[in-house]
Amino acid sequence: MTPVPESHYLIFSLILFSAGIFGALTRRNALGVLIALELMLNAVALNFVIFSRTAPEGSASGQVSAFFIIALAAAGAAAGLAIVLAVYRSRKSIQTDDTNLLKW
Amino acid sequence: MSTLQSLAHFKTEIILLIGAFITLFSDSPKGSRFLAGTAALLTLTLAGVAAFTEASQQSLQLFGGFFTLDGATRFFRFGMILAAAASVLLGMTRGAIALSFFAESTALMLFLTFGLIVLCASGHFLTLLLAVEMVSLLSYLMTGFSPQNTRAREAALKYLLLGSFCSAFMLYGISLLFGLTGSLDFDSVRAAVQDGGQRTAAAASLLFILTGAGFKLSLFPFHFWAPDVYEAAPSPVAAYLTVAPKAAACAILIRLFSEVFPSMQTFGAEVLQTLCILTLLAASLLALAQTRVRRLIAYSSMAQAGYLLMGLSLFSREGLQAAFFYLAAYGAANLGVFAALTALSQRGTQDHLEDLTGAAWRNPFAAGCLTVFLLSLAGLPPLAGFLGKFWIFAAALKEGEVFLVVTAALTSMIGIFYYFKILRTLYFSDPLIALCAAPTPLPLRILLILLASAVTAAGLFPSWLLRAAESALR
Amino acid sequence: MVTLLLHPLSPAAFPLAAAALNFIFGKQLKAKTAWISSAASLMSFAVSIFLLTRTAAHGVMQGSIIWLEAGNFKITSGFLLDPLSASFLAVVSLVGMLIQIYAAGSMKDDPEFTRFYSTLSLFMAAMTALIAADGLLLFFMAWEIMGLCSFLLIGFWFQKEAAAKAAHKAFLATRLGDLCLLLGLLMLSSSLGTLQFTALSEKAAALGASAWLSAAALLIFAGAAGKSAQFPFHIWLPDAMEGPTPVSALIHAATMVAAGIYLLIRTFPVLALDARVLSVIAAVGTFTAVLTALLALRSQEIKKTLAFSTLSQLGMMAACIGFSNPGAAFFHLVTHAFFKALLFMGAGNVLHACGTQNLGRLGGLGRPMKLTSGAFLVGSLALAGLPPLSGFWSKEGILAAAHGYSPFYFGALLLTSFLTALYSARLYLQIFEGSASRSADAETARECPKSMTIPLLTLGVLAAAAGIPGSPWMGYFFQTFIGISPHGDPASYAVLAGSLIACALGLAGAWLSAGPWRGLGLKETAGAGRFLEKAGMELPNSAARLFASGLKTAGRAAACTDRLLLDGAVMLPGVLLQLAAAGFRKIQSGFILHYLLAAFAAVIGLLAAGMNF
Repeated sequence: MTPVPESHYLIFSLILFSAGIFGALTRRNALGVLIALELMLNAVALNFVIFSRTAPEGSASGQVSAFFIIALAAAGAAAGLAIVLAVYRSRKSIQTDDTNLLKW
Repeated sequence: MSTLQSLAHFKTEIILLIGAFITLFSDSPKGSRFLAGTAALLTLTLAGVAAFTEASQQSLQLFGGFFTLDGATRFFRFGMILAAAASVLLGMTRGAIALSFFAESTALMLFLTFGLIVLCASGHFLTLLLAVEMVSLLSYLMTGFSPQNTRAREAALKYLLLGSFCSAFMLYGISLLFGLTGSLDFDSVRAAVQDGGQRTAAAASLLFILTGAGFKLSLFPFHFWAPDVYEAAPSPVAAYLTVAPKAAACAILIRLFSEVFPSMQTFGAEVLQTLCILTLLAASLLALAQTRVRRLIAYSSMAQAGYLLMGLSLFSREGLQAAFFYLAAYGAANLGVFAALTALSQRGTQDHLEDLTGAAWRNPFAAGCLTVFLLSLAGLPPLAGFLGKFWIFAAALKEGEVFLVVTAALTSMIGIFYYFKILRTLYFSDPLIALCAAPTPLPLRILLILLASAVTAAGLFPSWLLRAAESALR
Repeated sequence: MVTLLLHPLSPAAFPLAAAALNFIFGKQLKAKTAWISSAASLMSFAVSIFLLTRTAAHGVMQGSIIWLEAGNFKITSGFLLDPLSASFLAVVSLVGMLIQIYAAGSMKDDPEFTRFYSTLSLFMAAMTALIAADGLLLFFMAWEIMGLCSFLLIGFWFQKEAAAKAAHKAFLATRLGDLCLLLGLLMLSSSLGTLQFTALSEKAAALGASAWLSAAALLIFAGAAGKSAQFPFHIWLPDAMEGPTPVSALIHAATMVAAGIYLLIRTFPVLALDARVLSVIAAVGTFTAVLTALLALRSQEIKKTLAFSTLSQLGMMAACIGFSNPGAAFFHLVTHAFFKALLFMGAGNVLHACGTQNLGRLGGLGRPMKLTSGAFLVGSLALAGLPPLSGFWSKEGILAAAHGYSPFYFGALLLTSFLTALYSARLYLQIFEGSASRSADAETARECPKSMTIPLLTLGVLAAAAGIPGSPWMGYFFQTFIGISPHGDPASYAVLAGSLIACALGLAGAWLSAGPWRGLGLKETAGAGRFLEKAGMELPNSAARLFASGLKTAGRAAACTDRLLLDGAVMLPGVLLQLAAAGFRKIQSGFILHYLLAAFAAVIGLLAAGMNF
């Protein structure tokens, strides 16, 4: 049984990343954008795992980095949710169209 | 060097961490800034002393290569501590930042300083990644720290979303680089990039990483967060954010191009110079139409980052030295501008240019200091900003980048327009309400005098600063 | 202590201290600020005389400190005291002192007295530092500070909108020149490796002519043209007359505008490398001289006439440098400082006594204001070039240089001399002769207080006698002393005859036009005169706007001349940039979506561009 070629995994992570970009650019809800960003970060973590396969023996850089990315994503989500909550308290809305006080 | 041995050289950062925790818990129930502020200042003083009296002078690779302690780190480290001290002093002024958040905000600032120092010193992409995220998250949170301040929260949201977006790109680039080279520490990556033939992929990952750096440096078109954040964040936070992350971004650019991608310096120079020209032009145009003071300062910071980048993108010894000098001059001047604006402000961060009318008669001291800082930013002799610009232009001409210099000179002239707009409002208008002569509180006075003298002294006797800049080049 | 006081940079230190004192203690000192400033200038003058004698006896004095050093990157800065700078120092501090005494009288009732004196002292400090500088770095820094002081002083009465606008225009025009100077300076330093004046000639000779050096030389000339108001930068000087009269006398007649010429003299070794650069300088200078002399004829205000006259004389000096004779240019600079300051102070006296400077409303002031009119007469005749007054000798030097260069330029400068004599004599006649009943103001005129007349008379003596050291009667002592250029062709008869005839014709013409032939040919030449003003003043203003805004001026130049002159030169480039900026700022829309889109687009763009790598 032939192993899955690496390029397939890469394309998959690229699709995930692009999905994240697409989501970030089209969502009107701040939470939606946050979720899309999380998706992007997960794609990055996946990338690390994929590449750890071809990394030199004994080096755990890829997998360790993936763990760190996951932790980072969590921290980012926490901070993001805190800020979104604060914005909601002020403006009673988290639609990105409404957060338009600062401009020009 | 092993962990235990490294700790001995990690004194400054440990002091910062411990001090940050202490500040976090020194929230005084009576609601005065004194306790937290003093704790923070004490921490910073100790850290500064530790940094200054650093025993060895040679480059060290700490923690197994994750943290590089060399001349550049020392230069930036000292600068960050000074900038943080200035911001804390600014924060201790009544009205600069909400009382209830002061302790936490100051503590976060100390953590931020720690993160920035680690960022400047990274020797491994993991450190880079973590430090960037730490700095970013802390910045987003500190921006939003204002009670009942809708604008600050909105600014924090924009900062968060755009920042995470750009960071994600940067992380993707790092992962690509990992895939290309199979390792994450700078030396191995450099070796792999130089030998390997996959230039295109390496260039792509470099570009992704530059996205993150460009975001931090508020280059066009990654700059959209900067005006909002600098306008709406509380004064001390905004002051610090204008200076320190930019410095860290410069440090990281230098490290990247000298330790990881030395083979791609020409490519990097082209990219950076293009961004530089775009940033300068965009910032100058955007600043011209501004009537809100803070926003104008934000765009001016963007332009200053452009000049910095001009020096950096040359990758020559003179260019880097000039950029370091300019960074120090810009840092002092920008912090001073925020401090002086706080002293002169009437409506907090929402000041329009008209609110500054005749401010020179209301508060001549602060207005005089503001003049010094603005003239330094505009690049007029005999202040530090003039020398910084002079050397960057000279370094660029030496490399033959005539187009760059001409553009920068033009935008510099446009800059004089808007800086003088502020000055004219300060002085050449009859004071509408001259009776509200508000005295400047003491911490602010001290800060203003120190910064103004620093800027003038660096302009008149620049050798000490130049020597420091040179030592930063290892 | 004594050696410190007599240090070559102390003529700059005294006014600096005075400026600081006046700034800090202005409120307490009030009127005494005038004494402090004048005393500082007096001390500067005394020290400069001492230094002059020392230089004459012991030769060139030099000194510098390592200003900054980083690796093998070293910049030094210091002073250079050779006969050129020593004599210029003496002249400047003397004129400065006299004007500061004068201003004590003329600005007596001004509420902003202290601000005036502190800025004036700062200016004196910058000017003396500039003269004593040994290299372009200190020179440039002092140059910039002088520009700042000029801006502050022109706009001294900033509540008057005209003054504020004039100050703006002056600042922007000179700033443009400063940019060019900075670029030229950088180019020079990058190729010669030094900015010291003494090293310039050796290094330049070693390198030989090159396109790079010629470009640098042209840029330096552009900087000098900005400060010394040569075409097309000349638009700021006539408007700068909005400032107080002592300001016009000191800054815009005697010292600051002369700094540009001084720059050209000091950098002459570089300029002389390429004959084309010199020809450009000669052409621009001559053109400015002729054009502004014609414009001076048409002016109806005393100070504006004197401003145009200054422009014309500066043009002659610049042209003389183009003719490769910087020594003659310097001689004329010195004599011009004396008689032009004198004339401005005289104008100030008239303004003080009659409250107007409109030539149509003045006349017959010679009787009530004997001292002023006498001094003004001496000044006018010196300007006209009547022997044996100072102006004659210095102008003859310039004419001799022109004669040696090209007959065409000689003719042009002869024409200028004729026009100069014409308008200066006419100015005197219109103000001080004629019937007094031409205006009510003139009837109530009285002579001015001593503080305003004594400096005038002193300068009168100097304007008359200062030329003697440079004349053949003392064997061209001055030129030999300065020692920087050939001592002119001791006048060939053609030059002598030419200058005498031009002067005589001009004086006669003025006398005739004020008397028997009054008003003759006025209607016929009115059209030509209006065209002159358009070409000479508005076109450069329009070109300045064109440069800043990229607009087409062809259609607009004809209409609304006045509004364009005031609004356009200063406001229009700013307004147009503002329009562009107002449009551009909409990209900062406030929508997070747009921010993200822009960042994404940038990444894609960078990738696309970078993939060609």
